[in-house]
Amino acid sequence: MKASQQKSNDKQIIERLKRGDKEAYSDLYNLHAKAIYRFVYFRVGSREVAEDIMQETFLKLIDVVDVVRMTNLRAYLYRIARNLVNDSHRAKSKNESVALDVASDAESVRGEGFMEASAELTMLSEALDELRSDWREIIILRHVESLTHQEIAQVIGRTSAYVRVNLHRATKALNAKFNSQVEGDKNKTK
Amino acid sequence: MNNAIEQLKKLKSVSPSGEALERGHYFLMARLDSKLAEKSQLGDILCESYTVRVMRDARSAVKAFVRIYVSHIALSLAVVTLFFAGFGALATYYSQDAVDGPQYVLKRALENAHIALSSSDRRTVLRVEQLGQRVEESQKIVQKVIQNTEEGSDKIIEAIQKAQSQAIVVREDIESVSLDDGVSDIDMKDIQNRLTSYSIALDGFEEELPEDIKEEVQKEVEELAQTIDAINRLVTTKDIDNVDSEDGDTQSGDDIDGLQGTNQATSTVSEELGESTDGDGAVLPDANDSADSMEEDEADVTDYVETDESVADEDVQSDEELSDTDVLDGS
Repeated sequence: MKASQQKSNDKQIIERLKRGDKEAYSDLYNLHAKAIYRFVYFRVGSREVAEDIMQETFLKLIDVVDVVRMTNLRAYLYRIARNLVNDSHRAKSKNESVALDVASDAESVRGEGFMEASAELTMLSEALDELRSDWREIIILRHVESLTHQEIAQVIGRTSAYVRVNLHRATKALNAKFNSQVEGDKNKTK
Repeated sequence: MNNAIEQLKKLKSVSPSGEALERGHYFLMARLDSKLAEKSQLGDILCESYTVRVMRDARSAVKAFVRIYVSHIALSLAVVTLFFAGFGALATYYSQDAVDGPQYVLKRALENAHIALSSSDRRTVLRVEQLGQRVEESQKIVQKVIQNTEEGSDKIIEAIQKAQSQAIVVREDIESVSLDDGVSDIDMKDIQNRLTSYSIALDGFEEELPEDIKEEVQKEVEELAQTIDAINRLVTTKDIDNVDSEDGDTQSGDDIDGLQGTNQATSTVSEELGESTDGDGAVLPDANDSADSMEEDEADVTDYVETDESVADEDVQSDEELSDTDVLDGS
């Protein structure tokens, strides 16, 4: 979907949301709920919390749709979710690290077809866990949710250049960590 | 190096459970209904509050409008009243001025006329007044002259009557004189001269005498003239007879007494006229004097009449000027 077409669709949906169109909310939820859930899950590392924040994200949208001027609806949803995640982290512990159980989540969702890759996903999870939180956020938004640099910049409140630079560095660091994890695992196997 | 990115793409498979999605959808719809209901209720409340506020504001606005409007009307009425009062005052002022204006102009015109009259025609007025006085004096003189003329006429008439009576006496004397007695030419001429003087004297009063008296006097004069002609004829005859006589002298004496009586009667008339007479009473200087005095009186009268005409002309001019002034006066 092209950016202009995406922008036109978002504008129509926002108009419907402002009019209180329940069907528009339903469509929006069906379209973005899973992505918001993934983004929140990779940030909080808990399925229950991620589901709560996902629901809260759309409920928050109902409150702010009348008062906030939105241009990119998807970026705005991620921004709401990010703020809610930050609030959740602030409520628990500022420095508490998130230990992702990506392999089990993937298995629970996709079934046993993904069991073969569970080891690599675990190493990826460990590599992500070792990254800075902002780098991890950028990497997920870019490589998991496929947001553009501009959208990522809108979500995290930075410039596109900042996103581009930090994305490059985060990707490089993630690969390095992941490769070292893979090499270490091979050495253990030998 | 790209292994990590490829592994990250596998994380797209991570998704919430269907139950979680349905629950999220349900909560979203419920929250949306609640929100819409809240909005509706809030809208009603807001609407009601807004209505109340609008009504209150409308009442306040109406009150303010009425207050302002009343104030505006009062102010407008005051302004209009002041305007009409001022207009009325101006109208009254100008109307009074319009009334007083012509009067003032007329008054000024009269003053100017008086000034002009007093400055330029003062001498004329004085002259008119003097002429008026002279006219009055002339009238008095004319009256006096007329009175004197009437008195003179009476005296003349009386003298004529006496002369007439004397002439009758003379005629009787002449008739009583016999043709033989004779009458000198000198005496006859004397008688004729006297009668001529009577006629001259009468001619001077001819215009002054009344018609009946004039005719009577004329008649007597004619009769006297006829008498004189008769006497002349007798004298001529007597002269012829006397030439034919021996001595040829003219006799005087008793025959002349009648003529002397005539002379005496003539002298008496002259004396009664207040005129001096010579011895034979041949002249009538008194009558001439009277005629001269009457001519002088006539000349005076003529002068006065001429003066009166000039005065009349000047009066006419002054009257014309004064009539102009009267026109300005509007009277």
